[in-house]
Amino acid sequence: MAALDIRGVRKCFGPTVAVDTLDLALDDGELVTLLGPSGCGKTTLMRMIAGILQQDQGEISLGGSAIDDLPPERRNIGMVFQSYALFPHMSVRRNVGFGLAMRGVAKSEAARRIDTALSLVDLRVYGERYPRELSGGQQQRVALARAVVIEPDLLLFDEPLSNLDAKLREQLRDDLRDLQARLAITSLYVTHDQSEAMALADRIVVMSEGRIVEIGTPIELYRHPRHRFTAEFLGQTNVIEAVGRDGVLQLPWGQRLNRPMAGNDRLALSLRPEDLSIEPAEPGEAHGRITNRTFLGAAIDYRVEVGKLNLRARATGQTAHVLNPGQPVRLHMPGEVHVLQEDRVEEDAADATAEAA
Amino acid sequence: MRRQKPRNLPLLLAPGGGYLLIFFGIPLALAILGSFGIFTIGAPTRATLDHYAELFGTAAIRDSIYFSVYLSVAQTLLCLIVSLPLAVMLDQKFHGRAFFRALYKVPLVVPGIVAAFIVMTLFDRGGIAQRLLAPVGLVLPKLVRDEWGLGIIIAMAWKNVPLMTLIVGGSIAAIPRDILAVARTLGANPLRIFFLMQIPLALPGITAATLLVFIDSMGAFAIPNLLGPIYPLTLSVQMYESAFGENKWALTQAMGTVLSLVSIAVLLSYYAITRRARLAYGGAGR
Repeated sequence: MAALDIRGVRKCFGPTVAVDTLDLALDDGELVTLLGPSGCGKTTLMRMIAGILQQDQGEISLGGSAIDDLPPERRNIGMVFQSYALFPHMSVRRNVGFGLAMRGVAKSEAARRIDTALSLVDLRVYGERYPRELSGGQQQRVALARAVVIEPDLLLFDEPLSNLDAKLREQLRDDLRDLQARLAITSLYVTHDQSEAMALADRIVVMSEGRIVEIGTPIELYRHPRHRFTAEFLGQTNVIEAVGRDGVLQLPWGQRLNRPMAGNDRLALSLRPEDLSIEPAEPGEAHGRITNRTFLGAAIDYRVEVGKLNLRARATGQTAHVLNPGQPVRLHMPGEVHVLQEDRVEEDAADATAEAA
Repeated sequence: MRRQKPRNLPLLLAPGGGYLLIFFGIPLALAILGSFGIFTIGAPTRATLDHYAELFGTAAIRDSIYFSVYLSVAQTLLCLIVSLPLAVMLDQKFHGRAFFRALYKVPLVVPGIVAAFIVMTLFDRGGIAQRLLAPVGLVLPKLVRDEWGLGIIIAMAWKNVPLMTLIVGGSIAAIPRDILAVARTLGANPLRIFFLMQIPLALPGITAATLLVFIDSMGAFAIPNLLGPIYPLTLSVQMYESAFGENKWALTQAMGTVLSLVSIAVLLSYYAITRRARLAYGGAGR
């Protein structure tokens, strides 16, 4: 294992800037997820680290040594792909042992390490099978064993769970986290699934349009995002405008909250649906009305019309009110509101600010 | 629900099946029967093995069979040696790739006889290559009408390399990029990727191309006739001499039958190889 350091890396494809002068550092044994929408440059960045793509500018170093000029086969980086990328003409054992064979590891030593790697992913009895004889989850575990058996300095995961069904994805996600923690291999994990990113990562790197938007722990980024993009991409939120005056913040439905601030300001707030409580109200006391209700099992998702705003609220637990579309409701924000620090509301866009993510 | 077999199935199959029967099945059956003295052109019907006895008993014809197989194997190997790296190279991104991809296909549309004349013009005694090399004191080995059939091998390979590259290139391009990328991260350099990934995974395409090129060269006439030695002749040229020079149609048909048997043997081995490959890979990742 080793620390990864990326400095000023940039990659263009023709006129398109895929990765724009990006800096990122990973500590030894850390698992960091790169989170962002399709086309944000996260896979391109990962391929540059692996050496499959060459960056136009910048430096990448692993364990303190520059790896920019090394071909992929000399970087000692393990990689796990969404497509599994198992070698279809080789048995599971030969797949797992491929990296060892390329390194000239003695047969007896290779056999021992293959057995250990297959045991780590609970596939020891499947060694003689071919990839086509395994399920998707088993294939991805073989890919994982193949990547860790070479004892890489860095593990790269390119959306490895995207091809699996939800239940298997959750199980494999936990297995993967355990394995990574046990082996303490520095890992970079690309995903566009925010729940996967939060469940796995020590830190999340949110990317958009080839740049890093924000870096933080899952809790920091979920509860206190600085940017609207982060707030909206990491879970669901209501970004609304509020007016602050003399230390009092007034929410669109009239609720007043004390908040230290200098002078008057228009602020962008991120209100998570689960933080917003709603209760039935008489028409004269109502702040808004329900426009839509979606029952999700563990929660009930409501759309609430408040003036020109369309807010999302979520009720959970057995005591949650079951409200009907058209019903008048009162809104209340019980805790602190979170102010997006770097997204001041522009005057001319004030009317369009509030919408559910 | 069980699917009903359409009643008019024979009628639907008639255009394709009928074409094969009339233009391939019947002539082949007549040729085989003729080789046994039945319905032979210009001779009364008499079932016999005499023509096969003559075929295998005549040194010139036996040598023709060996020579044809040798030439086909040699030029197929030459095609493989050139086409496999070429197909891999054309799968990479490089400046001028589109132009090169168009250029290498040119021999596909050049008739065999023209290819033969190109080789004669270049490599025959007094040819362009000889004249260019003479001032520096270099002498090319005999490449036209030489006993090793080098001119034939060069001309046929020149014709067939594009065909083989086209087919193999399709198989190479179909290998998922992730497989090659992961092999590299695991420590395989490009040469090992070529031998351990690209060749095995493109094997169905490689065997199909090998089969087509081999069978095509077994029956080639124009190039061996123009560039081949006086002795031995290739089987196709020998057949021409036997039919039109000596009017021995039954013997010619026996040679044709042997030629077809060699091709069928190659075809069967192709099916065996590709079946094994299909079973091993199960189409995974393709």
